[in-house]
Amino acid sequence: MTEETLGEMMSRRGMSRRTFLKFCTAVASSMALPPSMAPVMAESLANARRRSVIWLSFQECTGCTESLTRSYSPTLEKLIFDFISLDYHHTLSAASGHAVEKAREEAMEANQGEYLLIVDGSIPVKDGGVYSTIAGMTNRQMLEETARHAKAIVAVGTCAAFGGIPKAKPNPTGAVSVEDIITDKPIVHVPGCPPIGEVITGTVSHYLTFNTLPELDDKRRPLAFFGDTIHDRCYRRPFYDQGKFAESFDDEGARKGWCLYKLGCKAPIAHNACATVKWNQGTSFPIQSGHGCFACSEPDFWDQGGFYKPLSAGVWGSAEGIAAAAAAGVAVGAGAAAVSRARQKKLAEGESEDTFKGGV
Amino acid sequence: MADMNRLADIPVRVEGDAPDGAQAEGGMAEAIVGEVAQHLARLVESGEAGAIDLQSMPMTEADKAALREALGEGEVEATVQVIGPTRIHETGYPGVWWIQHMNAEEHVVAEQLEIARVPGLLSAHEADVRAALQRLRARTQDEG
Repeated sequence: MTEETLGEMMSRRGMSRRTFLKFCTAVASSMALPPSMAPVMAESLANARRRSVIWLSFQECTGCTESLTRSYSPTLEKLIFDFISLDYHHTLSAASGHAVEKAREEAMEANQGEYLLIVDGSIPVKDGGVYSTIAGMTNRQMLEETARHAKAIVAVGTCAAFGGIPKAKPNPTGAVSVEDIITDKPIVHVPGCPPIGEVITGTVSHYLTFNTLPELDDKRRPLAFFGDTIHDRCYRRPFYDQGKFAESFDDEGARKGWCLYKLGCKAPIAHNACATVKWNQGTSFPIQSGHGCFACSEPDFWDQGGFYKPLSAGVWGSAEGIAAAAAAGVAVGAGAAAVSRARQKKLAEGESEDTFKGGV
Repeated sequence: MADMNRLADIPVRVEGDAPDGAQAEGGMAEAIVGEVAQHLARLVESGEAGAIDLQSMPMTEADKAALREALGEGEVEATVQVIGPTRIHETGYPGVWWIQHMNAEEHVVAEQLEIARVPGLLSAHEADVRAALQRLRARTQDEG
């Protein structure tokens, strides 16, 4: 950790405090914090010092790193890389082999008890963990060693948070999540397959700015991003309330942009920020592009009975899904909920079988 | 093809209603105007500034257009260049500013209404002013 504050560092590079204010305004907006928080965050961040971050990648596809880096270059949000000292990251590191492993060991030594550990990917534990090793260490060994002196852990992506796709049936490598192994450290989950880049940035920024972890839900996800369901925030929500649904991907309803619930949209049980933060620099999100959400930020999303089956027909639907959708309906009007519950019952009885011709 | 490197550059022809329902008006504009009035009342009574985050509202393009029309255009326009432009304009209601923060690729990263006498981003920060004074003094000394 250097003694220079981030404000001094940026000033040395000819950047004003407006840079911090703009960055924090964007972060506050994506975290749904009151806009009045932005100036406070900007002050705090400018007075903070660079923090050491160690990023470990296990059984993963690098989609999480792609999500963070590709969508940004060379933009405002990329400033996060100036605000941290990224001391170890397989994909982004210029060094390799022994040199990069040494960098990890040195960062751990120099910042004992202070560094932030970010993990993406699940950890295979079957057969002694042989299915994924780095520099002769199993993923489990490396995680345990690196977590020991970390201040906190951010499990980025559904694999690190919940096991994700490697854990999908029949889970050939015995994949588990970070919290299955590490039980004595503060852990934040930033799930998604991949997670939204801004959500990763926002969570890390919160830690840098307030020196605490954000408030979490019962699945350890920051409430700021995962407090609402996609359905709560969906611009197609009025169509759901009006009972206007697309029945197939090429019917009149689909062309008019009606609700995709009957086509298997899992938005009512999916907690994530896609509907507001969106993807590709705010261009769109799956539902806006005409496809239902498949709740990739929820545990075991891959094994929930099919992406194109409505919630009411799937494993998820019977309890939590319908309850969530109906409860949300009540807020708009008790009538809508009653109607939708009747509709869901009908769907559950098999009305929806042919909604996706060609199937999955 | 050389300059067709952004999504917005790819021509798209939409027949009939846009398939994403973006043309439907959800009635958000009027609700936001009401909120603006509350903030403005606070500014008048106690001098307290406020802001409304437009990005986190479930607004369609039509909603946004309706809001823009409701608030209108005022006298002041400003662009701040901080890793991409931030465009600020005063609406037809003095003290109510429409602020669009863009990144270097000119994609909107945040959009808000700020209710203040002067938007916070326009004023120079104390630390920057002090640094400016140091730089100016250093320059004078060099020349002297």
